[in-house]
Amino acid sequence: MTSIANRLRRLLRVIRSDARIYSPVAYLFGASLPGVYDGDGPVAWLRGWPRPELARDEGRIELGHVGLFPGVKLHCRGSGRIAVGDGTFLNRDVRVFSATDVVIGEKCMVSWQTCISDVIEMGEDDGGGHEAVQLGDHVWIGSRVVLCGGTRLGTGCVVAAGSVVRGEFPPGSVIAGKPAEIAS
Amino acid sequence: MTEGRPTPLLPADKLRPSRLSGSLRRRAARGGVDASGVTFLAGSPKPQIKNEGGAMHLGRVTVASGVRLWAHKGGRLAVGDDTVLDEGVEIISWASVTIGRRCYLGWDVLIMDTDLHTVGDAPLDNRPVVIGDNVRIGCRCMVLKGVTIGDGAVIHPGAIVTRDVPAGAEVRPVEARLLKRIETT
Repeated sequence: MTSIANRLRRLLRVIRSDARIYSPVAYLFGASLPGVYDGDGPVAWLRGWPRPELARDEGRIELGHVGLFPGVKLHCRGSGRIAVGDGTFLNRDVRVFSATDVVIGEKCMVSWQTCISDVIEMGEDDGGGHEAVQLGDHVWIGSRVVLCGGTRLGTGCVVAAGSVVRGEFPPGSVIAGKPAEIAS
Repeated sequence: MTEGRPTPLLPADKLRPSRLSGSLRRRAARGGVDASGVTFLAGSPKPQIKNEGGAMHLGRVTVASGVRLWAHKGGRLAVGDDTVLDEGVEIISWASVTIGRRCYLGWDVLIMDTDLHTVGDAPLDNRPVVIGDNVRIGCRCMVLKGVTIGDGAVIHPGAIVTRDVPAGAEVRPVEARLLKRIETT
């Protein structure tokens, strides 16, 4: 929870820091999100439904100056943590689930309908079956990508649309799944 | 893999029944579906249960938001007890889809027993889908017509299942691989 004074201070910071991509108006809309996050808070583009959804149990959601588009869901279970760095966009219908640790770096671009979860054993009850996910800075993720638990992407990785990503990749990798082929 | 009951991928705050459960049940009942055992979870969009002259048997199922169940004319759709249908699951039955007990179907899973359309003049090829007990299906999987999945199988996220899966097997999709490295500044 942040006080109104804090929010205003941050807004001033946005204006002064000649925030390249964000407008103060959008920031004010972002501030109308439920205050369940820590940090500078989203600079959200809230034109459209459904509103971004943030929920944490006892966990933490740490947002920098993040662009949250409609339909984004950030969910923590238990003491899970989601951290998103400054200048990152989470586009429409991105879903992030964390029971351990999901860290997204600065200035990442995450495209439509991407699923990011730290699950490695599906349908498990609490306690086990999860592994932390880490994305570096400047990561570009195409639409409809599934990021499984235990994924680590280095700085500047590019992930092609529709891929299923698991495992560790060094900085600057271009990663792609299997595109369709002509069957007959 | 523990033998516990599967849980939907939601924070504990969100694991509460929808305030509209009653009306959702009544709407299902209007289509001839007995949804009295179903737990509808809160969230939007609301789950849709569409019965167009088929038969639907739902046990004590947990249904998250955005789920769509569709039984076409002559289609049969059965879901067993303690099964979890997570957010955005779609099940389309024109012939028969049977899902066992204590299964977990992840985000955006799609199960179809029909192609819905044909190529040329060939008749529609609908073949039943059978999913056993304790099956876990990951996020964005697709299970297509004529597939039988044995008990305790695990389908990892992103797989497209077109052939039978024996009991206890693990199915993995083709995962993304490194194509090249680019210079980062």
